[in-house]
Formats: sequence, C-alpha cells, structure tokens
Amino acid sequence: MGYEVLPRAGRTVGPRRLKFWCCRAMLIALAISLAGCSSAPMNYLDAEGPIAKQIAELGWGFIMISFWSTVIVTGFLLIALFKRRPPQLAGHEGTVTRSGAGLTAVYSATALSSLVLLGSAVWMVSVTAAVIRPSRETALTIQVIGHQWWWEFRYLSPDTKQSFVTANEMRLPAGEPVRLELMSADVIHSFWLPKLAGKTDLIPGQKNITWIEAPKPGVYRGQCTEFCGLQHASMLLRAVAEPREAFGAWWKQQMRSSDPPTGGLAKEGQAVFTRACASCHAVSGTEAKGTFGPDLTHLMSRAQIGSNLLPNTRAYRAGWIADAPSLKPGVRMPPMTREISGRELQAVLAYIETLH
Amino acid sequence: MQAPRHARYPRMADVGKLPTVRQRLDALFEPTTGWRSWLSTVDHKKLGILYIVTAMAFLLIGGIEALALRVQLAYPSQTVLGPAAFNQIYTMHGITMIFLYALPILSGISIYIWPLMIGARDLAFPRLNSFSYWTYLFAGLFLYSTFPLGLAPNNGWFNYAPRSGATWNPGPGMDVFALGMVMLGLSTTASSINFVVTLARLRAPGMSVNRLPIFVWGTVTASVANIVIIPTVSLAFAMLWLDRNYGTHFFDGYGGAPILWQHLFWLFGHPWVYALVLPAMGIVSDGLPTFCRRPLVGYTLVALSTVTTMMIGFGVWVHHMFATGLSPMAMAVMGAASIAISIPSAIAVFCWIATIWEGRPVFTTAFLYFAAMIFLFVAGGVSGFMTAAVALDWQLTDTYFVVAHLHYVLLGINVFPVIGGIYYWFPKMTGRLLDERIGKIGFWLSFVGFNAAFFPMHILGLLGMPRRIYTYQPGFGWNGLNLAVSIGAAIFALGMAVFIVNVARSLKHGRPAGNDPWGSYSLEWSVSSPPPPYNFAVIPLVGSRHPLWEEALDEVTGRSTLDRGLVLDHGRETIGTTLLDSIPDAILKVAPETYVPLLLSIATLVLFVGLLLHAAIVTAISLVAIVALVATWLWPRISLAQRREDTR
Repeated sequence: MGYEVLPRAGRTVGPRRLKFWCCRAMLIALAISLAGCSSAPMNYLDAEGPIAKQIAELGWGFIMISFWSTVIVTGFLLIALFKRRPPQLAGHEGTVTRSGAGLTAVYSATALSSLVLLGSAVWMVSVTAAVIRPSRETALTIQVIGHQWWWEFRYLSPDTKQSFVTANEMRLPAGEPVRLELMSADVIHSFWLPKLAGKTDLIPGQKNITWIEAPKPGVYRGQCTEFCGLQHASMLLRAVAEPREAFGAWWKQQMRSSDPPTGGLAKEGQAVFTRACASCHAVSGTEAKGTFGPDLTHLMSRAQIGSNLLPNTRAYRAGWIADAPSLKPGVRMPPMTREISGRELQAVLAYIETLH
Repeated sequence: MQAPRHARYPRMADVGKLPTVRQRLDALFEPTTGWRSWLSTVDHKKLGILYIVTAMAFLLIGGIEALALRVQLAYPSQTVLGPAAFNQIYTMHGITMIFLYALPILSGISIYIWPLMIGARDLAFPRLNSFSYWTYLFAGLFLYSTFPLGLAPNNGWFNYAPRSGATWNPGPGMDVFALGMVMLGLSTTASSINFVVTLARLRAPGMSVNRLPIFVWGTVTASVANIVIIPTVSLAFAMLWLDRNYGTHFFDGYGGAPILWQHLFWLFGHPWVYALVLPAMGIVSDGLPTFCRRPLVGYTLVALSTVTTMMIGFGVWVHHMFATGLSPMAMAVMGAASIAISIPSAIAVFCWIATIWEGRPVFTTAFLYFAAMIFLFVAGGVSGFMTAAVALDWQLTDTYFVVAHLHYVLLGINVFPVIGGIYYWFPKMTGRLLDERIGKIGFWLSFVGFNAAFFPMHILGLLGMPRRIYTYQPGFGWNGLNLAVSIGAAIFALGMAVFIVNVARSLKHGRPAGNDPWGSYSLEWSVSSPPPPYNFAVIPLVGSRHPLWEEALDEVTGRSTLDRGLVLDHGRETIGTTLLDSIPDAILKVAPETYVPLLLSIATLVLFVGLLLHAAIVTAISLVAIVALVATWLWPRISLAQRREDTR
C-alpha cells in the first residue's frame, strides 16, 4: 500500500491535558460569570418578571442539556482519540482494516438524542405557550414607538383626555401586567428589557402586541437590539417600576401641561425654544408641537437624557443643546450653536429646567 | 441529442503498454505558458487554485476587519472606530466571510478535487467554470469598490429593510451591495449547475451514487440548494435596488412590507448556511477514514443525513425571525424543525467518532483539524439547539450568544475542515507536503485562540450584550469578557498567520509528496501530484467505494482497474455516464482554452457598473457585448460535437 509513516507527535499527553483543561476552564468560567453576575443589569438568566423567569428556567434547562451533551460527546471523542489500542506488528503500521461494528453505537446514540430532542421540543413549546399571553387582565396599554435613536411612549387610557406622551424613561406599575403596542416611526428596532421579558421588534407599517410585568419596584435596563443605524449602540432603555400609588401620582403629573415660566430668563428662554427647538420638540400647553424629537413636557422628571446615554444634569443638558453630535455621533439633533447665542443657551436652559 | 453520426466505441487498454497515449494527451491538453494561461484557462485544476487563492485572500481581508472590530470593542467607551466606520467594517466582515469566502472556498476545493475524485477530465462545462470564477472575483471587487471611499455597505450582511432603503440609507453603499449580490448570484448559480451536471454525467464507469465520496455528496447537495435559493436572494436584492432607484416600495413602511425582506432573505439565508457547511462536513467524512486507517462507519447514514439536513434546512428560516411578531403556530413548527435538524447532524458526528474509535488514528495536522471540527461542531450545534427554543430565543436573539453560535458553526464547520482539507490535498495540488511541525503549532494556536475568542461570547450574550453595537458603557459586566475575546482573536489570527507562513514556505521547500502521501483510498490519489492536465491517461473503471484500498480491505465484490481503462485520445475528451449506475453512454468533449468567459465576465461587470452609475450608454454597450460574446461562446464547432456511444 506504500503507506508512509508520518511523525507521530500528538500521541503524547500534551493535547489530552490541554483539552481537559480547556473543558474545565469553560465550565468554571460559565459558572462564575453567570452565578456571580449580580453586577450585570442585563443578565436574563437571573430574571425577575414572570415571563423572563419562566424563560430563564427553560434557559438553564437547555444550557444543562447542551453542556452535558457536549461533555459526553467530547468525552467519547477523546476516548476514541486516545484509547489504548493493541500494538501492531512491525512493518504493518498504517494497515487498513474494516474492523469493529460502530454502527450499533451510532444507532443507539441517535435514538437516545432523538428522545432528548423530542422532550426538549415539547418543553420549549409549552413554555412558549405559557408566556405568550398574560394570565390576568392587563392593567394598561403603552404604545412604544421606535425612533432613530430614542423611544417614544404613549400611555393610553380609555378616556383619551387621560392619555399622554413621554420619552425614553418608561414607568410601570409594579406587579401588574402591561400591554405593549410596538411600532416604529422609521426603521426596525427591537424592544428589550431582559430582566422582564424577551425581545419584540418594532416594525414600520406593522403593530406588534406583547406584554410585560415588573414584579417589584426598581429600575430595569434594556436597549434596542435590532441594528437601526449609526447610534444603535446608544438607543438605551430604562424602565422604572413603582408601587401603584406612586405610579398613579406620576401619571397625574405627566398629564399636566407645563406651567408658564415665571422668571425673566426662563421667559426669554421659552421664546428662544419656540423659535429654535419647537419644530422638533413638543411641550404640551405651548406652541411647541414638534414630533421629530422626544416630547420635553416633563423633561426634568427623567433621570437621563440622550436616550439614557447621559445623566440629566445641567452640564450635560447644556452640552447636549450646544453640540449633541459630539456626545452621540450621528444623532439627529443638530448642534444648536449656529442657531442660538451663548446667552440664549442660558435662557433655554433656564426654561427647560422649569419643565418638571 | 443528435443521431449518432459519429458513433464510436472507445477501446480498453493498459496505459503501461501504450506510451503513445500519454504523448497524444500531452499534446492535446498542453496548456499555454506564462501568466496569460491563467486568464484563458478552462482547466478545473487551475480554476480551482484561482478560486482557493482568491477566497483565502478574502478570508484574510475579513479577518483583518474582524481584528479592527475587536480592537474597538476590547474596552468600553473606546473611540478607535466611530459608529460610521464600525458599521461599515462589521458589514463588510460579514459580506466577505459569508459570501466571498465561505462558499467560494468550498467551490474552489470542489472544482479542483471533484473531477479527480470521480474519474473525469474536467467539470461538465469548463468554460462556464471559468465564467463562474471571473464573475466571482469581479463581484467581490465590485462589493469592495466603495470601501476605500468610506461609503461601503453599512447595514449588516442580512441587510434588513427599510434601513436598506434610500430614505434611511442614501449613498452608493446599498446599491453596490444589491447589485453585487445579483452579480455574485450569477457566479454561484453557474458553478452550482456545473456541479450538478458533472455529477449526473461525468463520473467514471462504475462510480455509482453509492460509491461517491461524501465530499461529492456535500457539494452536490449544496449546489441543488443553491439553484433553488439563489433566485430568491437575487430577486430580493433586485427589488431592493428598484426600491432605492425607482421608488417601487416593495420593502419600505409606506405600503411595502419590511418583513417581506426578512422572509425572502432567510428563505435563502438558512439553506445557504447549510451550503456553507455540508461540503466541509464532507471533507471531514472523507479525510477521517484516511487518517483512521479504516472506511467511514455509516457511509450510507452520513450521505443520507447530508441530504436530509438540507431538506429540513428549507423549513427553518423563521427561526431567524422569532422576535418579529409572527404567529405562535408558525414559530412553534419552525422551532421544532430547527430542533429536529440536529438529528442528521448528530448522526454525522456519531459516525465520525465511531470511525475514529474503530480505527487507528494517525495524528497528522489535517487529522487534528478534522478532530477539532467534531468538537466545535458539537459546541456550535448545542448553541443552535438553544436558539431554536422559541421563548428562549426571544432572549438570545441579536445578542453575542448568536455571534458565538454562528462563529462556532461557520469557523468550526467551515474554516477548520477547510484548513484541514488544505493540509490533506495541498500535496496533491502542488506535489509538496506542508510542514507538519509548523502545522501543529498553527493548529494549537488556532484551536486555543478560537475558543478563547468565541467561547466568552456565549457568556456575553447571556449577560445581555447586543450584537452590532460599536461601543458599550462600563457597568454591564461585559468588560473583562470583551477583553478576553479580543485577546483570543489575536491568538487565533496568529494561528492563521502560521498556516499562511507554512503554505508560503512549503510551496518551495516542502517535502515531495508522491502520488499518495497519506495512503488514501479515493481516485485522486491514483494520479501524479500535481496531476497532468488531462487527469487520467485512461478513464479508470471503479469497482468499489475505496478504489485504492480494495486489496487491503479484501473487497469481495468489486475491484477497480486504474491502469487499464477507456482510451479517449481523439481530442479533448472525457466519458459520459448514466445518472445512477454510471454506465458509459457518450463521449463528451472538453472545451479548449479561451478568453471568452473572461471577456463575458468583464462585460457583465461593466453592465453592473453601468446600472450602478445610471449610465445608460455604458449599460447598452455592455449588453451588446454580452450578446456578441454569448454568440461566440455558443457558436457550433465540430471539435466540440458530443458523440453518443451506441449501446453494445
């Protein structure tokens, strides 16, 4: 057969050990990272809402099935590679044979894996069916509208006078299921609060319905997860769950129109705002009715600006108005320094700081 | 087929007793010399090498892009790449790896090895083969044409509408992507048809379907799938181009349906990813027996599981769209199908392990790559199983978990077998062996680097890191893992660099290989390395699945004859055989060298440039040129008349 004997390196302990340690390291890394990651606010295997909790159980189950399948199959592979074989006669190295009957093992392993897969499929379908609708009547409906690169929330009430619009910071009543209607004003986005539920896309020309429930008061982090352009990375999401009373109070406050400014500088600022900002931003109860950017009626009630990219402090507000693209490259808001003077900037700041 | 005016029966002869046969064949198949021969060649071996070198160049470019992305993401809030650059680079990384590397490399290896494996002198349509290559190359250059201007496609390789539309994405990048994909589709369709017809008609007598190497099964399965799915994606990209340039509103939110794009794209996209792995799995199925010194355990199971995977693969595309608000029934069915598709894959894995178990493995570099592929396939398979679970996928989708999964699958089941395959067949292609010592260093760097780079991505995904973000803030628990990924990527790149150095070095200094350095079993190892232009002096008669191992295996039924076979020396000829049993029924002609396919590809490129620039005159001229070149190509020639062999 003219078989050429090749260097037989590799039949040493080296690779075996290395593979063993690779396996070990992966398992340890997995355990440490997932169990100990309370500092990961988007870790959905440590879930909170009823939807995400059921999914996390399914997730841990599938991780275990996957992990042990990999370990068992890799174990067989390693044994096959390094098992002791009867020595060959000198001069017969590399002889070809057709020994053994591996086919039975192949059939058995296939049958066993098919059973596991069938069980997994049934489990998967039952969890999916369990979380697809809330078990109780939803408390309210929020329309979520995706924009490049921020979130618009419309809180709907049967009495349309009770409805209002806000942006970027979502408030939820703790312990109550909420119905979400997801839409987009431009391209596809995806709504995701990992601790509470999986993703649902916001697709232009289509209204997707889903639901969400925050079990207890707290802040939940999320972000857009369908690539939507330059600032996809900074289309961050923040949901604040509050007890029913606090949520009701917040609702009342959000429905109020803004009070007319009293201070001289703030009054001047409102005039500048109407001239330079109102084509994109709305402040209810004033002439500012733009819808291209976030509604600013209650800007000061939000903890962050720039779609939750920056803290809502005076310095960042000023920097944002003056030159938003330097803080969030590609943002639709132009640098306003060409439109307004330094004094006018101070005036606008004074005005928007009255928008509680 | 015409009446058999020139019917003739080829004689059987022993090539050792007929030295004149080789001389006549040398004269008939003598290639022109010099660099021009690379432009006019229709020889599958030269075109295969062109394909392989081009695809590896794209792999290198895509790899450099990946490293740039990993530098940006190594730490939070970095500004090495801004969002505009990052989006273009990650998009081009995807386009390059998925479209310009992963399938073309497999096509290249198939183009080189197939005729040698099945006992033919070339592919069925040698000139079409040349056209496929040049069109692939030009489509690749076309797709990269706006990259140096900073105006490359920037919407990801699956290019969701409506962000691909003119409203949200002005500029030439998207038009280049749309037209480039239509152009690349021409190349892929042409090569797929070539493979299918080659399989149907050009196998040596006796190379029946149950004796084909699994690699041939893999490529033909992928090719049939490509013929079905490429029209879908070409149509989708053509509609996108019309949307962008003529306001047709197929995919936008103003009367069109953005979701339609996703259906059309993934109807293509999911079968396509199987087309990227099935031939590579075939490389492993054919390589393992050589290094385990025994035939593949479960040949029939592996062959059927290859076909089954593709058939189920047509019915799982919705698993890319679980978050788009489809009906729960559609999602449950497609999710279950996506879980079921692991059964044929598992069968292949079990057969490979059984082959190693029952065999006596020789730890060559090629074998290490194949064995590692089995592990990576299992790891990539189980993460696919997780994403198939609908509710769980609502969390996993569009996070780094998916990035980890797709890299385990595409690098694990494509790149590792391909590199292993190059270690395996490099001696056949060049006559020299790659260095084993350097090879093993490269392998271990690649294997360790690969896992260090891509395993932590699973955890990043579970910790909620979305894919396609150009930066992230600290405080999400992602910092350390991202640094690990970037370091792993660098180690992996080093491993690939060692491989490239090995290739460069061994081309000149490698040990001479001889016909059969591995003691293998299939027909390609019966000819010299590199093979003569006509491959086989006489067409061999195949009697079993392992023509070169019959004596060792003591085959009872069939025996092949390799030195004695059909003499075809009246021109550039090869034998045509029937579909299932490979009974000879025609003498087929192999076209001579010609520039027409290259010129046709150039005219096609000009056509697409004309469309891109809305240059009506350029478009019109190129259309005229295309018609003229096709007429030249198809002009009847007596030397190419196919002859039927009368049934005896």
